[in-house]
Amino acid sequence: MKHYNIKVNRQEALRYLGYRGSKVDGVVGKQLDRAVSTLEKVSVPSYIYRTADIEIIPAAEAELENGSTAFPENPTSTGKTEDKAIRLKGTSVVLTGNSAVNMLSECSQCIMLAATIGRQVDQAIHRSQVTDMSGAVILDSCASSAVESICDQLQADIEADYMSKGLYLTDRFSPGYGDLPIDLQPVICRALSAEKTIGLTITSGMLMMPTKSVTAFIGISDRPQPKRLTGCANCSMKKYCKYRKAGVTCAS
Amino acid sequence: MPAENINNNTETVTSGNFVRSDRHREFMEELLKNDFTFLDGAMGTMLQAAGLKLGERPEILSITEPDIVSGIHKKYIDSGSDIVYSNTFSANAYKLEGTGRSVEEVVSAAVACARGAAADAPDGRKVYTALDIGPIGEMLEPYGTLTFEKAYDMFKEMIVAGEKAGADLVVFETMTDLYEVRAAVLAALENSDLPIFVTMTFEKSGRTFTGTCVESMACVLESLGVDAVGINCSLGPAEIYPLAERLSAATSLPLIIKANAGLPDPQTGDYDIGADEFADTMIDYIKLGVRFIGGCCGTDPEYIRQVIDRYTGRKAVRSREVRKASRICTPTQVVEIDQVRVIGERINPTGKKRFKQALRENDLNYVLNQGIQQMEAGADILDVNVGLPGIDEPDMMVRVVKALQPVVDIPLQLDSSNDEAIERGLRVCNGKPIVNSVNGDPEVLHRRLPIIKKYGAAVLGLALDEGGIPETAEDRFKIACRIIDTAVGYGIPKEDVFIDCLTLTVSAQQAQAVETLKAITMVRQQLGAHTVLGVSNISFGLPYRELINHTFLTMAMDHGLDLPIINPNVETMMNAVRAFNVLTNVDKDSTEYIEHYADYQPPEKAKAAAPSADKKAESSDSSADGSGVIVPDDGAELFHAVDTGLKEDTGACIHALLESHDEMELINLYLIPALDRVGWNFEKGKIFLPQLLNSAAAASEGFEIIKTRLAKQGNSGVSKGKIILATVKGDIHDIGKNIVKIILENYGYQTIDLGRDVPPETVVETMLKEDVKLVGLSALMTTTLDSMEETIRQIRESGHECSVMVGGAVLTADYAEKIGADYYAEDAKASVDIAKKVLG
Repeated sequence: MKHYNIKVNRQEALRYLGYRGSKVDGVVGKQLDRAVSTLEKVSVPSYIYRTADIEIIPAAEAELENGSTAFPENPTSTGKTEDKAIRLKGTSVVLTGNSAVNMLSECSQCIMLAATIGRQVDQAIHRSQVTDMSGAVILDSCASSAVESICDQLQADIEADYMSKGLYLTDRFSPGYGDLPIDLQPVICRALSAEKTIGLTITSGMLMMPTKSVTAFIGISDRPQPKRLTGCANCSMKKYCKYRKAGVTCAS
Repeated sequence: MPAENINNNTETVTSGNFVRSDRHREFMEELLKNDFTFLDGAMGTMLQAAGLKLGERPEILSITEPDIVSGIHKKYIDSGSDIVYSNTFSANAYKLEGTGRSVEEVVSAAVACARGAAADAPDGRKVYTALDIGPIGEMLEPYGTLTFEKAYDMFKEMIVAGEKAGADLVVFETMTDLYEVRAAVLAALENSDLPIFVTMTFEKSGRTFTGTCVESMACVLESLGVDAVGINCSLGPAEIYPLAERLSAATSLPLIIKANAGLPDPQTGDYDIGADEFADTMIDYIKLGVRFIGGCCGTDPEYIRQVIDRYTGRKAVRSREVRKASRICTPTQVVEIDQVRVIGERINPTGKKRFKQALRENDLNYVLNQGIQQMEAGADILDVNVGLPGIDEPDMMVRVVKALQPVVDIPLQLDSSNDEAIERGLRVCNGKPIVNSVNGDPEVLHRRLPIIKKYGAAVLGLALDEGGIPETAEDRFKIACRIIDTAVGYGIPKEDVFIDCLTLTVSAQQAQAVETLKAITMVRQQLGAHTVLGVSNISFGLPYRELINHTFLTMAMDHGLDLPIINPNVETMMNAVRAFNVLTNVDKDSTEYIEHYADYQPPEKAKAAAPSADKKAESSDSSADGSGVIVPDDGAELFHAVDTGLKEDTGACIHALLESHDEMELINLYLIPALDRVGWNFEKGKIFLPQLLNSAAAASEGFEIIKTRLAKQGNSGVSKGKIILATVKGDIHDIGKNIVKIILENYGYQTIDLGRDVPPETVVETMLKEDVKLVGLSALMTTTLDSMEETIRQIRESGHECSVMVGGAVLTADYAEKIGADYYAEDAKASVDIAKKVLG
């Protein structure tokens, strides 16, 4: 298994903390350096993924299988739900809702992945909260950026691999995006044996443990795929977003 | 036991007179007559080959397709397995939820499948059924939401069902969290007679996902009295070998190895070595003394058959050389008493008003800080004493132990005269701790040693008895002998007993210092036991106590003291230890010494080199910035220190200002306005969260100085009112709540922090008991907003007059109103404004 080193995007980490391109003072700058070096020391990046063929099944059947319903709080789930769902062949994973059906509409296969930077990161954040709360929040946002960086690197490698075979990837999307139910989390974990292979568990409240972890799907298609997830229109935080209120976007 | 019973979170504390039957011993004697006992290979791999889909629950098949499951056992038995593992890896209440099947149903069916196949073994060969138990699947506290006690109950439920169904032994495997293993082993010890096998799963680094190292596993499990330990899963035989080598050196227990069929391809999940190569590699394990051999993920009956084929005619290494040593540990590190190890004494309320106040107010953060400070100053072990009249000591011990162990990496020494506090502390202590203490009084020995043995702790024995402290070294030595003999009689190894030869005050009994030193030498040399000593008592009543203390410490170490109990924050004490380590050739090449003192400067020079005292703020900080905050004439420096988040400077300013102002004036006219200005800048987007928190930390340094002064004057109150803070049930993201707590405390509010994953009932109960008028609730996930709503509903239902403020990433003002909250706190600063409005 190829090893990826974590990469912390400082701008992204600062954005999580509310900075909008403003300058960082000396104390915070030092705390950022310390957070990055702590993460380099304690994070243990690991991942697992599987590729499965896609099978379209009637939505009614899916409800029976997964016992899951669309995410009620989500703005995009209010429209008419597609009467189709997507089953990943050879697994018990069924993706319901409009978002997944749209995302995978031109795909014949789908990658299911889980990645984490490990529990020691949670320990470091927890410990830091006792002595240095400010350091802890900085560490927390750097860690969020770090786990994304593992997924980005993995995705880039997978993408290069498929491109060479003339295949294309969709965006990476996770339970909770759009109307893809969050209660898929334990199903994905079981299908990937993620607890055994990378130490990822799901709490009964559907939270991932270690907290700095990602589960996601990526579709594989024989034609180039549009970037469907970029832009505020596709974001589930659209209603609450502080950046939008301030007249900017998180990408700016 | 029906599944719903496990939700009754009953703390199971069994009494000290716990005796395990001989069944496990007889079982082991029988098995160990053979050179090797062969286990089975993977169950999951075989079930998938039989058509199980990825993600389906294999445990249910024992009921729905018993023939498939029995067939797999049969194949392993036919290939030569002596022990088969039942198909119960995840048959716990958490994982079975929603399947419509009870734990007892699934476990009984699975054990029946295995026993049926075992009974049909060819040639009437004896085949045993192991009740197989994997991790619960939810992480334990403090990182997960599963409590130690709940995990214990879930394991108990499986074990009771498995024993009833006729399993011959219980195996805990693929474990990654030593804390969870402790819960599992205690559940087995207390509720069954089954022999206990434990195997954990390590990464190449020699640590599990949760950080447990091979040596800590060995240290804890051998002390707890399990029957065999080992390693399974995650890696192939070649990768596990170096870890097995470490395990073999760290324990004398029989070893179990169940490796994967090499490493999996991350994309397909296929393992990379065949039965032939697997069996060849497994041969190497014979020289490590392995006695139980099987396979894990990716292996099938052919792998087992070939291993047995290779092992046929080979002899087991029956007596491994395992070095005896005194070891205590946390999951992440083992502390061996092979040199002076400092026990930090500061977590103890005796004679400390500020500490007492913290305990009374449930201010665990204060206690944690004491722990971290000592660890950073060089303590190897932390003494934990939380005895104080008027508080529930056993309960406080549990809370402090649970809070300390995730933030300090060093072992604990549980210190109490209260047996219940000791037992309940031991129960939840993750690792191998020391118990402080027993003494030569037979009544104390027979009361406490069984508890200490049961939980596998080390023990500190005071060289005194019911007759008091003997005057002579010889008599203290006699008591030490009695303590060690009695401990050994209870099955506690001699290496785990440390003797305190007792310090008496030199100003009162001057001749006694020498007797103490003499007794240390006798115990160390004649008994080979390690010695403990509370050093600082020596100097009571004398001026310049520090000089006497570190001189006595040096003398005692020279006489063989290796576990001094001291305040590691006192520099001269740690200096003495570091110098001693150089002079006794322990600190090789003076590495640690040099690292520590390379930048050392004599005090006068250090003073001269310090930056000039010109810390004046660049601007005069007037109210002209628009914040409306008035900076007192002599306050510019303090305001600047708080603005820039400089703790030391803030502390220095407060000390200086205390000379001309009283405490309340400093809080109301200096510290709070300084924070107000920071808050204003935060609201205006001029500074951001990290800076706000740095300022809060600096201000809190100032508050701490004032609090300590007030506590000394017997005045504990600067509180402006109590506020309950909680992250709601189901949610474990507590960083936001902790930020709010810090800011509120800075403003003089007393927070009652209920932690995370807090049930609505707890919030209501605390609110009524403490008569609280403001409750702050936090939730980060949409999935936990329901439990926030439920909590508010129950608060209203209680009829208690109380305001509720809510906050968290997914909340909005509208939503807060919808679920019945009084206030929506957009950020930490807003929570202060709300508190001012509600409480004044």
